[in-house]
Amino acid sequence: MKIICVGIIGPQNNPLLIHTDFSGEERKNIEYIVYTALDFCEEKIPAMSGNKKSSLFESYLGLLFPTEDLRVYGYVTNTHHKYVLVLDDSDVKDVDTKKFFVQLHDIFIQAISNPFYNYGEKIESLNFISNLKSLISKS
Amino acid sequence: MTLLLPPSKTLLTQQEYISWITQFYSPVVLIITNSEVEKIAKKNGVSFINLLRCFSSQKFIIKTPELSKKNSQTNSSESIKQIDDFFVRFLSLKQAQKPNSKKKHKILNSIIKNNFKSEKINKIQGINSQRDAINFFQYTQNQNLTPWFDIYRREFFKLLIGSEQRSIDQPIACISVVSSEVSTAVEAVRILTKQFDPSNPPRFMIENIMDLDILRYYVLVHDSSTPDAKAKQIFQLMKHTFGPNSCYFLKINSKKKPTRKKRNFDQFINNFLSYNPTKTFPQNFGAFLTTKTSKIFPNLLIHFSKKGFKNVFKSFFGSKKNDSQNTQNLSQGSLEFKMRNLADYLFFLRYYDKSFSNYKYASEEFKSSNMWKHLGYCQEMIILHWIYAAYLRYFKKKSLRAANVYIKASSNDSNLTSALCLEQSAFCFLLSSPLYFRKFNFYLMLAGNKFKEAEHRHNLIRCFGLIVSSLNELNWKNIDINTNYWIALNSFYINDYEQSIECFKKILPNLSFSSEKQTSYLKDFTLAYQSFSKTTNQNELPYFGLPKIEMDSVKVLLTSDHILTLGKPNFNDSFWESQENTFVQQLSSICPDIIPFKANTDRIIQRIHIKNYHRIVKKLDTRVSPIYEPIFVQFVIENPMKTVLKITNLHIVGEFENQKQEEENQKQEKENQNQKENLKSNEEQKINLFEPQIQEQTTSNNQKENQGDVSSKRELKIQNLEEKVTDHPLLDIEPKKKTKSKKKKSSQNQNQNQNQNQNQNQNQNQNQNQNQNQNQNQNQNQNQNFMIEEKFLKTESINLFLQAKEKKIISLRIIPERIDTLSITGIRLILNDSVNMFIKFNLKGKRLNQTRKQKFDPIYLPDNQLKLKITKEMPLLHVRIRDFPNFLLDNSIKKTIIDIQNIGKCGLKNLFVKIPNNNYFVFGEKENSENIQNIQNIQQNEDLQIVRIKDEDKKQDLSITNLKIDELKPNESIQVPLWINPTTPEKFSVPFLFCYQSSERNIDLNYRISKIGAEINSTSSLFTKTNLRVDPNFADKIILMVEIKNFYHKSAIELLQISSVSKNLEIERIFDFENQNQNQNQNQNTILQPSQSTILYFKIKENEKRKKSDKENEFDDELIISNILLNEENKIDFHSQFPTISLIQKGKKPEEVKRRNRKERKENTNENQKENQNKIENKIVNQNQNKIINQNQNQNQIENEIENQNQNENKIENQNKIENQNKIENENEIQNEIQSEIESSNESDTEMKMKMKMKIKQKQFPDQKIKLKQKQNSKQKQKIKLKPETEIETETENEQKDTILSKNKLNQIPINNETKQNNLETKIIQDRIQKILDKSPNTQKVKKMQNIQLYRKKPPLKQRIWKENEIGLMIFWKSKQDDFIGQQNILNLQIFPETRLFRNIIQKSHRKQKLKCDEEQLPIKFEISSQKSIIHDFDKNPISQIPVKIKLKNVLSIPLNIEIEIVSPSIKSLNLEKKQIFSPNFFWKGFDHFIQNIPSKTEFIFNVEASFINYGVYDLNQFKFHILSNPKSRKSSRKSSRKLHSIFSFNYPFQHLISITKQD
Repeated sequence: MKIICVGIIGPQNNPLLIHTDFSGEERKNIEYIVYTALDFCEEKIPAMSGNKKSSLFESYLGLLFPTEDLRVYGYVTNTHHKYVLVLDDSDVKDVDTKKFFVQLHDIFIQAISNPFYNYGEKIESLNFISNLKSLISKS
Repeated sequence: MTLLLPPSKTLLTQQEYISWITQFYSPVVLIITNSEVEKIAKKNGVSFINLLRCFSSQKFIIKTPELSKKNSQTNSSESIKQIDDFFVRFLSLKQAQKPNSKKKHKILNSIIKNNFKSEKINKIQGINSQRDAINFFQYTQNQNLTPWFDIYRREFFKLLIGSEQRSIDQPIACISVVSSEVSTAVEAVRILTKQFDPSNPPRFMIENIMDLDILRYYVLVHDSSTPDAKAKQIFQLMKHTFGPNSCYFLKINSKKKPTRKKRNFDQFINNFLSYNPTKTFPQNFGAFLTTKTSKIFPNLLIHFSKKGFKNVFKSFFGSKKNDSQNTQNLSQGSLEFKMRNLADYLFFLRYYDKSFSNYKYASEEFKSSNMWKHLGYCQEMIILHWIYAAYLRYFKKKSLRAANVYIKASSNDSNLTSALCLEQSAFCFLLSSPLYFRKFNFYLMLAGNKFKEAEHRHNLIRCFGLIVSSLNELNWKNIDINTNYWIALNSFYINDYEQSIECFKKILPNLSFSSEKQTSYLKDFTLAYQSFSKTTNQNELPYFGLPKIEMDSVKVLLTSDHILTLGKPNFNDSFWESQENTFVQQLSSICPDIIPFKANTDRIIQRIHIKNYHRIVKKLDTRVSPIYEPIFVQFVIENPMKTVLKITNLHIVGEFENQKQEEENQKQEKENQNQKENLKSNEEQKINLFEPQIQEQTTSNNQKENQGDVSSKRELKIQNLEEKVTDHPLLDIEPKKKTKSKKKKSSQNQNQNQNQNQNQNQNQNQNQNQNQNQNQNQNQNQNQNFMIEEKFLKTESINLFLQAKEKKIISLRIIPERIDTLSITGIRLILNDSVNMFIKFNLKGKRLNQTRKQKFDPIYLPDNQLKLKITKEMPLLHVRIRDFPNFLLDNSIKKTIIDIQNIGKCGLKNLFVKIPNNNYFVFGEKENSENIQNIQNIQQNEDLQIVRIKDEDKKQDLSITNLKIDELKPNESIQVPLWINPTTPEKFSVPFLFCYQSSERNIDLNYRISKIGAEINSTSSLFTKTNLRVDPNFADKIILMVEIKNFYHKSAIELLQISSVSKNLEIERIFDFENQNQNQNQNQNTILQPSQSTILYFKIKENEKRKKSDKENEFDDELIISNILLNEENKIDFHSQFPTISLIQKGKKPEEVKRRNRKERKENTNENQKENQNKIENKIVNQNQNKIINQNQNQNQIENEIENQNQNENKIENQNKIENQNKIENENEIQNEIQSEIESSNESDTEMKMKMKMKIKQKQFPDQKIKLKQKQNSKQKQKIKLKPETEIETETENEQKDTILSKNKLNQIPINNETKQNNLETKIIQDRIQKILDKSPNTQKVKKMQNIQLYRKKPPLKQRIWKENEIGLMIFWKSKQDDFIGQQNILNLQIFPETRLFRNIIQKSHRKQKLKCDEEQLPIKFEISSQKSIIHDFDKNPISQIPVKIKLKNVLSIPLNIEIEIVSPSIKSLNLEKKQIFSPNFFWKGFDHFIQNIPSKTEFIFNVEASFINYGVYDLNQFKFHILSNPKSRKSSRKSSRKLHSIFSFNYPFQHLISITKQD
């Protein structure tokens, strides 16, 4: 599982963090992909919450869309923070991506529990970024 | 070929969709004309084919068999189908020619470019949600979103015609047209046949394998302007040749020639329709179509009707199989093509289902025979059907498919096509459900990029504009900046500079990437701006965040607001404001000229209804600044970018309110001005400016004054250079003027003299020019400050570079030169040498939070900071403090000089200084000039001086000093010495405030205030402690013991001199009895190494002159100073160096007047009234009685004295004068009285002393003797009652009653019972003391020593007032290393301890409880008893413990809570051998602190143990007593004794000596 980009988007669809190794034009394109992924997140979220039978709110949105050489996965928290994971085109099991999202959720909660973090602002915590990096390197 | 998908108009109805299909998939009719026909047609301005196109849409009625019914057997049931909008495409031969692909693209490109109407991006609303999308569609409901796409598509389809596979474009008919102007009829027929010859068909028909067997019609066009005889002849021949049904006669141009030749198409059509009412043509026109179809279809239709659909299919299918082998060589006649053609025709006639199936079969055929192109065509038509069906049913879902199709189509070679396709696909995403607006944005971006490659800038801006507006409020920074940048860049290329700049403005302050890129962005921006400024008149950019100005940081400071700081004083603005306000309030009482006008707006606003506040605040809060005085505008400027910003010509912009109006009035006259003159003057101006400019004096009065100022200031500066001067910004004002030209000055002067409108206008123009020229100058000399001169306003201009992310605080001056209201509007600057910017200051005032509305919506007060009232000239004080020390030793004296200079343009008066912390500062020369005069040498011995204190000095509030300057004219300066004498070791900040007024009356600015904030850091130097012992028998011998310790760790301190200050006492040195060689050791004692201490002994005696003097009034305001030199070698006359008296007399912090005192003051006044009434009576009253009464009365008086000392002082003096004689008479009797009292009661010392004090007072206030008789009696009775309690009789009466003083002293001495028994121990001590006294010059016999309590008197409210029997000590010293000269004040050693306070409290508490007690006693009696002498061997037992019995008796009639505290020994003798007498080197075992409630009149006994660790004589007086509030008078809940607060504390004056000696 080669992670190209991890995006965290706030409830107002404002990006809180877009972590990628790319820069410049490539980064911009990846931002576009993350941005576009929100459409698919929104498409999937009401469908899930509308299902009355499953009382459990399914956070994991699965594969949002594939592009020619990338795969985009999504995850939504109870507070409508959205995580977008951009992977390369290799085969990935859903279990792995799901596990990654759950771990990401954990460190994200740690980051926003910081009393010095202003809710809704961009995440600039170095600790969080280092956590994220280690998480990416593990998976 | 997939460009058949939904039209660009996004919400097409079914009808629209169908009409679109029918329009584009309509039958083609080939028109073949010749040049003559075109000629005729051109008379109408169009080609013949375009002329025909007007009629391309027709109502069309066909009779067809009902095809929809399956297996309909009835032949006759022909139904009539009406097609309302049947289209026919007319095609000329030229158009039918297939252009090559390159040419195609070119054509399409130009079409898009020509047809695109660009829209401003800011008008576009972004799409962020479903609702936005709906709004968007509603907004664009009646508009075609992408009209260029429609055009593009139409043209594209046009260009498709002629491609081989599109059978639908195959002409179904051919109309040959010939003009009647041919030479002969035969010729015409020949032409017609030649025009379309099936054997020799047009090339494209061959290439595309088209069916040549099409309908043919022949039209003869006749121009009605020519005779038609020939035409008819030709027409006859045509009919004859081609058959009458296929020949038509068209008559056009029936109207006379239109007046204008060239008209546009619409007009032409109108003309054509209205003026060509040829009846034949329209009828025939429709007719030939009818005939055509009827001819084309009959066979097939009949076929259908007879066999039915299935049969037809079968026959076709079957035949296909048979002929399959032959179909290798395809021709137009083969079955597939027939099939396809049939499908086409069915399509035309809108039998869509049938055509669909036909296409389907045909496509299979084509597929099997690998005819891909034809297959493609068929499939296209099939898709068309699908889409049609989809459109009808579930169009919206299909739009995603459509989008995908478009996306696939976008992978085209042509950038333009792919761009258009991507754009369409974006719109498809918008149409889809759910709405993919982000995909919409994404594909728009892709489309934009393609447009960028295709160089379609307008389209690019449109696409990106949509994205930007939808991203607006989100934080997708990179995307946003990228899109904005491309918009900006492309707007620039299409010359839309405004939009370009708008976009740059958005992105420049927010850039986050590398500095190189930022620089390039900035370059692009400046380029865009340069082009922008060329095209528009308004070339100033408003504020957009580059450079960033922090609006909160904008401050307008007047010259008077500048605070000179020395060190780092911690004062904030509000502190200064409050200081200023209180200062002015205080001053207004002293100096009536000064009117405090600065009202506190906040308070006023609270009172006034909020509606009016704007008006009121405006009225109140406008600040006033004098003309010609610089105003400082301070703000923080920041570079948000990563590149260097160059800012030039940064200056403040201000406006005068009235000037505006005047200018408006002058405008009209201005227009009448001669422009030539201006031009001339401009030229001259320029020439002059290039010459070197030197500031020179001119003839104008104003200028002269200015110059004068400058020169004088320069001189001053030179003077000041000699000393250390902290720079004041004001001094730099004038010399910085640089770019003043002679020429302009003269012109200005002219204006001033003439005051004519013309000249003013000229001047304005000149100024404008000058500004421009100055800009030029600035380019030459950068990084310099300039003064830009506008009309009535000089503004400072600076050039600076802001490094990446740099923040700078900029302070700029403006100098108003007009009396008016100035409002500072903002700043102007030039960025990177090209971009002119005007940044408006937008300041908010305080936020209001009072009403509900204010709490919900943030409402701010208007900020009046930027509005200034300019008033006439005022003086301006420039104060400097020379040699101001930041570090000092505690109690050292430092002389600084305050340099006060008037740098204003007006005289100055009423100069006051306020130093709130005034006990550290003294103004004045060595001595206050008045005081110096009064220094007298009483004796030849210079050591004694008498100093007189003036009355006014006493009353004055010392925190405010009037510097007593009549008038300080401009540029005059004075020096005032300021002595700094910190009395506590601490770090403190001192505010100095100088208030002054203009010598000319100015209503706007009544007073001005200059401020200096200073910080002084003082460290501890000497520690002193005094002790006083008195011989009870020889009362005038009081021995003063001063212990001095050096606490300054850095250097040794040398003691130089000790002076005493008193009204009637002086000191004399006694040398230590142990030191045999006085002179040798003397100096050793005076130099104290760090943490070394010494003890000096002095004898206090009464001044002889004072003794003799009877006139008390004479020396009432005089002080005696006795100086004792400790070091003869370093003899310094301190009084000639320092303002000694002022230093002694300097005030303390004023204390609050307690309520209690106020109440009593009231009582007192009542009493005073009574006094006046009873004055006469009093004289008769027995004196003895009076005294007793007066005791009571005086209690109140004394209390009042504490507050009213100053007031009373005069009174006392006056009274003294009057009562002198009486006093003398009364003396003896009073003394007797006192003595008797002492005898009669065994009261405590303090009580006694207090009594004595009162007696003295009594003498001073003989007038105020009053009391009710009853009270007198009761008092007397009480006294009598007390008598039995006295235990022991007093010892001896002192007979030395020569003076009042001696008597008093004597009386203070407590009578100790135990002194009677002269023990061994005390004898030893006495002997020793005697030794000391023997050695001292005035040796006298001392029987006993008695400890008298010493303490510092509470600081007086204002200036110190010396009382009798008070003595102050000054120790002059010098630190060896740092050269600090210091003076340590031990002020006010009062010989008589004051217990008045205690008495008051006791009395009061009694009053409350309605209890009576004897006021003349201390509340407790204290006895301590133990062994007096002990023999102990410390070698055997290191601690010697002695049981001590302590007896406490409450003598009051109320219970008391008494706390006994052990005071830690403070004197540590250095040498125990020598000074063991004073060493309290022991400790208590058993208690160190206890609280006991003692009921009234009861005794309490407790036992403790005192522990000693060394031999010696110990004094056990180590107790301090606190009387706590009575628990019974309080609530019982307060059990904790700790919470009881102390009402009164005292030391019990006793001596209990224990000597511990070694055996043998």
